[in-house]
Amino acid sequence: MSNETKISPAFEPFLADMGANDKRDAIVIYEAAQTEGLPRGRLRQVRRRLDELRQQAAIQKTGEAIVDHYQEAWSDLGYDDEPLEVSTIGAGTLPVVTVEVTPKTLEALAEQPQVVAVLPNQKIHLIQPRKIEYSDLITQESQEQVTWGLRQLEIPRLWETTKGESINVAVLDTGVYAAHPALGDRVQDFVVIDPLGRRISASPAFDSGQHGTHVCGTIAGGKVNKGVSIGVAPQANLLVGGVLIGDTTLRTLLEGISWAIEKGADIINMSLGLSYYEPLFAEVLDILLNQYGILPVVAIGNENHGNTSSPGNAFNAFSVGAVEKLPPDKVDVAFFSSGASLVFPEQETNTLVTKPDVVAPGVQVYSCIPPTKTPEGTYAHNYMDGTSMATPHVAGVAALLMAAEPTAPVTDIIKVLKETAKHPAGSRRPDNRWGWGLIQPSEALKALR
Amino acid sequence: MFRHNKISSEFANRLRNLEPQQTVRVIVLLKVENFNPRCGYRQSPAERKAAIEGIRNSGKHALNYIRKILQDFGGKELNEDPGPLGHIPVEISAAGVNALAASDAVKAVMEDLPVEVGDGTSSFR
Repeated sequence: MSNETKISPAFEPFLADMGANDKRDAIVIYEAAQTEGLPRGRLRQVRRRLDELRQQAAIQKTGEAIVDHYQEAWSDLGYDDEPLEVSTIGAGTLPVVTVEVTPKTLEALAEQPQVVAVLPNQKIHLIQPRKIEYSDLITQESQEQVTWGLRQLEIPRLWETTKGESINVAVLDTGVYAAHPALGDRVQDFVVIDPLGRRISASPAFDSGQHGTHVCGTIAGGKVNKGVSIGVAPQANLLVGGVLIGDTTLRTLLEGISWAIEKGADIINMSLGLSYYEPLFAEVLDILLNQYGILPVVAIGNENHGNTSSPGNAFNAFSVGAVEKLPPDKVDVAFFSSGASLVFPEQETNTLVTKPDVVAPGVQVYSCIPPTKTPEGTYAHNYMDGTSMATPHVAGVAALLMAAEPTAPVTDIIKVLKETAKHPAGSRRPDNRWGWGLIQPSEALKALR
Repeated sequence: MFRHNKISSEFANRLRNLEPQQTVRVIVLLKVENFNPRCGYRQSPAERKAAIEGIRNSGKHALNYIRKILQDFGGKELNEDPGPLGHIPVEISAAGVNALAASDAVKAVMEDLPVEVGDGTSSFR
């Protein structure tokens, strides 16, 4: 193992802010020599304890040797006058010790052959429900007359060029409450696909939950109460397939996709996930992209960093993670937003698949819902969090780009959205947190022209 | 031995735990020709219609090749014709899934697995 791989990447943000001689506590995990295994036979129980003590002694001895060597390096690197702070963890049961490091001494510590990993000592906290403060956000959105997501993506600038007219965006979801005033006459078609894959016409269009209506509002909603605009492409057409009603399976979804193809969809929004990893969904996405010129936009999932969900994790999926708004004017990837790198060394192509592809606003997203009674009153709008909410921002932006440049191939639209996205690490991308970065719709439009 | 390129490893593992005669519901993606001369470009309604028709016909052609497999393994087509993705849902024995995957007329076989809404949390305001 190289020294570089022994030092946790979690050190990077600390090192960036540390001066050359600033100190910080590090946790050192090391490898202790193994003692012999337990004997067989009658002495087993008596010897077990002895063996445990031997193991503890071996761990402590290795730990002491590491600290001794590090102490020498500490002095050699110019900290002779400053005592090295060292503390053990527990009674030697775990091969772990805490030492002080500086940017200069970190490498010397990692160089020792018994050292397996060096991690920054960090504060830990209890995971508990967060109290979310909406009052500032409500005030801000009312003043600016757009949701924070639309403002972040500078959507009103694109509205000077287009509002997504004539673009058909299919939404495969829980349905839609098409009578919501914010949706006006945007819902052009609606169907329910039942678990047997049958298409059932239903009028008026309905939502079996709130999810589908919320997603539709973010794509093509107009103004809601107090004049706040919620939709990215308020003149795009919505084709809504209620596929997530009852026990939905892949068959239901594919029938929904088939319906969307037949109805003339240009974009398909899928804020949904399969119950296990299905890489072969890539074949379906390939047909959509290449045979029909349809742009599928897929949520990457809400299973936190280190996970992804199908179909968003197919190598050719255009998958979306979520960012949240942080004060004063920053954004960061939301803790729940999935992302991972899938490695397939045995394959000839796509040996490394990094997801998501891009990120978009997906926390505290204000949109419309079917009128919902609660003890506090009836609500027709709410805030929702999830990559499900980030995905329709991207689908809406794709509709704006398509309307502005109707002859652009969908592969070019995906390309410009990725390439113009903004990543905090600059050109060192994509990664499995931000993907290619936060989409920059105006830049993408410029690149498309 | 399952054809990993045409069946996902997760599905292959699940099939291994079934008796060969047990029935599963799968989506068969048939090998179809490319009907979009302007690959990746948006289509006019007429182009879309032609592409759907072409893929459906190509799918029907491919389906004829696998009918014998469906017959031999107790398979049942759950739709009358292949859809615009060149797909057809079928019920077939676990042993039949591998036979389908071995066919040159088949691009992929996926389990008809559950789909869930990408849940988020909500707050009324």
